[in-house]
Amino acid sequence: MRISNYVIRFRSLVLTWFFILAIALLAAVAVFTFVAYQRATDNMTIDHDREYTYVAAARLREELDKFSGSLISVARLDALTSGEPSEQQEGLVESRLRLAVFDGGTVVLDNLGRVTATEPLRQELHGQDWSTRAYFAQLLANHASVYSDILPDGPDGSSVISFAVPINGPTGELRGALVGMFRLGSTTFSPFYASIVRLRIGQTGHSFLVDSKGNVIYHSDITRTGQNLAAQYEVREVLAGRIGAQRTMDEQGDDIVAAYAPVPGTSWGLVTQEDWQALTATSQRYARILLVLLVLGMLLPAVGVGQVVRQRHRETMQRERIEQELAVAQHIQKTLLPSDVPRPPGWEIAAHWQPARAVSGDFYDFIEFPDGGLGIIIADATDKGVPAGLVMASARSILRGVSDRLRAPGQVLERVNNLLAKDIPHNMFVTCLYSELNPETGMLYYSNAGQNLPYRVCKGQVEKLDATGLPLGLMPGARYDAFQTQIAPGETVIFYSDGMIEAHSAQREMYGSQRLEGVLRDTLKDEMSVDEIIGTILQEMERFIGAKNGQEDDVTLVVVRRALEQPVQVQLPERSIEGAGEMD
Amino acid sequence: MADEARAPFGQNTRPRLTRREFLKAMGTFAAGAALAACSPIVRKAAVNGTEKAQLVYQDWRTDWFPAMSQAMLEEFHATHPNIRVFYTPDPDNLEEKMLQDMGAGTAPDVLAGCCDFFPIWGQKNFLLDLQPYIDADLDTATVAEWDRAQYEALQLPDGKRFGLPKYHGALALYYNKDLFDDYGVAYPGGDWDHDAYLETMRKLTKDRDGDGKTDLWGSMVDIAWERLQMHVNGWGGHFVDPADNTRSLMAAPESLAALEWIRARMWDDRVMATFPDVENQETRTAFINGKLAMVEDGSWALKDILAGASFRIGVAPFPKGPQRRVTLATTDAFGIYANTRHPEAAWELMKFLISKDYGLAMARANFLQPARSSLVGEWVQIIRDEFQDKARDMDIDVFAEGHIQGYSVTTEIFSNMGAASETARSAWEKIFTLGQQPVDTMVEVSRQIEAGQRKVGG
Repeated sequence: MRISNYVIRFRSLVLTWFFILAIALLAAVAVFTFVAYQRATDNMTIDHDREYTYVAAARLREELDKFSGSLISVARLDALTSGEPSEQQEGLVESRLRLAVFDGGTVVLDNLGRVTATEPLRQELHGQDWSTRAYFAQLLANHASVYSDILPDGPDGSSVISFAVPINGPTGELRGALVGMFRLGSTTFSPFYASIVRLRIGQTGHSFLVDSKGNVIYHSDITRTGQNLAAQYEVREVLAGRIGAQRTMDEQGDDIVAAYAPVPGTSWGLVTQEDWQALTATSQRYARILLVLLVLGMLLPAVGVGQVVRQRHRETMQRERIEQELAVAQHIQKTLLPSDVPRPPGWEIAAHWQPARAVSGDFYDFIEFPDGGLGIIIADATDKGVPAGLVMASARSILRGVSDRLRAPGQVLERVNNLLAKDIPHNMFVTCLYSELNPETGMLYYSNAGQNLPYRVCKGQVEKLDATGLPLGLMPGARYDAFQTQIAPGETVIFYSDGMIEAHSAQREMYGSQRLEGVLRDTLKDEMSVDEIIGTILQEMERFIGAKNGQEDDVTLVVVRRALEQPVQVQLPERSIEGAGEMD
Repeated sequence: MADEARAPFGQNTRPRLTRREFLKAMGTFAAGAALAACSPIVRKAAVNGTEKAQLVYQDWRTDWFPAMSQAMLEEFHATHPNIRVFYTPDPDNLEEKMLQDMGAGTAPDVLAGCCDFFPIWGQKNFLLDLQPYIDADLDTATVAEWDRAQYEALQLPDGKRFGLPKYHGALALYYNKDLFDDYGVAYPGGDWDHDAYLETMRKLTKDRDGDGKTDLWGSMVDIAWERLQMHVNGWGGHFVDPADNTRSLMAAPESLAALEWIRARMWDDRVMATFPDVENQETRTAFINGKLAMVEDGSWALKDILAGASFRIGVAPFPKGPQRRVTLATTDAFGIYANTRHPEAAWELMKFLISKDYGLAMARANFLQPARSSLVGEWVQIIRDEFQDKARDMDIDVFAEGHIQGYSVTTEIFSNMGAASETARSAWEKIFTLGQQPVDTMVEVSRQIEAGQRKVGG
């Protein structure tokens, strides 16, 4: 029993440590998963922002091409390709609706870079030499559309950026350039700014466009137009022609992702600055949910397994306590049974008591009266286990107490029945065969309260000692008849409890009285001792029920045998079975 | 003591945390963590809180409109320092380009549209539903000033309002008083019907130079959806079933009769000019150039016609049809792009664009008839002041008659207007512009249009 509990405790300990290791492993997986998710999403956010800015720069270039397209369509007009300043001026006027998008005006340059026509008319420019403009040199070199840096060429010296397209003659020779200009800063009519704003570049922060010197052409904070941002890392990078993105701090110390990409075909660079927290809001939310799931995924099994371990431990402790209590109860019950069997001269007596569980409802008792009489009691409380044991203890005490005052078996049982009936639990009762033996005469006086009838056995003859009566505790006031018989030398009386005859075989066949009688008749020998008789009876019964089947009920046997050779007679007072009254 | 401290495992030791307490703590932790995970992340303000909302406003690309708008937007900026508006003119291929831009997310925040294409943008959910803004932030007096027909035309059957009136374009009949006088024909009046209209066209269709070819036509109509619809409505018909915008009534007898009347004038009587007749000039240009005695055109053409014509001009209500009198209230309107980043700022701009000030600015700049009825008097006066001679006897109020008297109608819109418009225009070109097919062709066209609606509806 103890070893079993130690094993259970050891198993619980192993389970606990295994569980702690599993939780530690789960925690490590959770932390790794979370960190990996964070890193992956952070990198993806930065990569995405870089790609986004790169695509935005390409889309911006497409928008610029539309403006160039408008200029090119006008530059192909005969009026402009003629090279005649007056015709060019006229051509510009006629195309004013198409050129209206250039809010800084349009200018025609000849192949030497001199201004030959303007729309709206800016007479003061006519004849000026604009060949020093960098875009003109590029146009001469490439014969393709050019986008300038910020220049003070707008009306009243205002800042503009210029789009220049070549004006080619019939044979493809360069005859000049058509320049469309966009005003910068706080302007209202601005198809150029409109084309940038409606691209909706940047979601949560700033975006800006710088020329090749780092001067701001467009900024989502329009007041910063014209500022030089060449000192900024991103600006330096983009002006060096690099595409990239990094997580950094802006001028206000806010956590941002700065991405940059050159605008294809221009010397300009686009920079976006996105608010990091806003940019990662979605992934952060998922990260938090992931964190909760990971924590729950770790803690819920921990709680569950912890509960199981606690429960198992509690059950073990409870089982130990019950077993301990039962052991004590069994010990106490054993002390209620006679420690030795009486050995009146000329008589052999043996007893066997085997509870089905720790505590038994069966009991037997011997009461040695002062006059030499020997009370022999065998009883059986209904049911098994602790309830039956408690009833058995109570019944034994009452029997002992009553037998001190009464001798006649019938009266003893009547008194015991009345006392038990008051307190015995509902549906419980005690069967009992109460007898008193006169060892000298061999007279056996007995009454029966529902107990199995004892057998008298002698020389292969088996006889039941008849006696009937209601079990004790069932009905107050019940009467119990008294019987007597004389046990002759060589005769054996066998008292037994119902666990003996109600044992079952593997086939669920009951042992029964007939089998017992058969054993008593055929197997017992006169020369057997009472212990051998008990051994034989039990052996036969165990053979019947089989080794695999456990004992179902308590089994009690008391064997009383009168020896053939009688000792010297000691005269005991004879008494009538009715005559036994209360004793003083 | 040491043994007491080392009590047997699980025995006689009070756990630091009972199971119930532990579970409670776990539940609290889990709920707290879940709440923290699900709660919105407090977003920092924009990287720089001083910046302005930047809007793009797109409208007409005409000589006068951008300058007018630029000047007005300066006033808007003065009263709305946190909004910066960049005006950009309409692209050349507005209808197609806008569909591309709207689909790509790069359309202007606030834009103007009209005719049959503007409702298409609304149907495609490219335009913001303005009704919540109107309910919250627009007085009922403003709404009451708009032509009911025009206002209702800017709403889809599901209640979504995709635009608010920009100006009120009304269709009327311009006529060349000098020609009428030359040929002794009575001026058209308010009681005119289509019979009188036809009779006058016949009288004024002439071969003036004697070369055997007609060089003066009685009138001309643009082969456009809403222009043809006016005649159909006059006949009591409809293009679109008013009760079911997926059902075509183009092949109904009334509709076919009205269309046949126009076709017959162009190709049987030849008293109405076709585009080839006037060398593909715009109707108003042909009228200004003296090729037409009358022209069906709208108030939006007033300035061009007054400025361009070298003759005295009269204007009469659109002739009454056999069933009723109607005139067109255009659906020129302002809308807000659904994907704007600044809907509140866009609504502020919208309120400015529909204001009396902006309406009068458009009236002053190019005689655009105001959408608000209270501005009609000032509008008439503006025109009279600028064209004192030509407009002296001109009944300019005629343009507001439909609005004031409530007989305006607007363009009828199918649920799948894009397909319907394309199908109809193709057929009309063959029937009217080229005279290659009879009006009965519209029976099949009507069936095709209805089939197009079913495809969209699934």
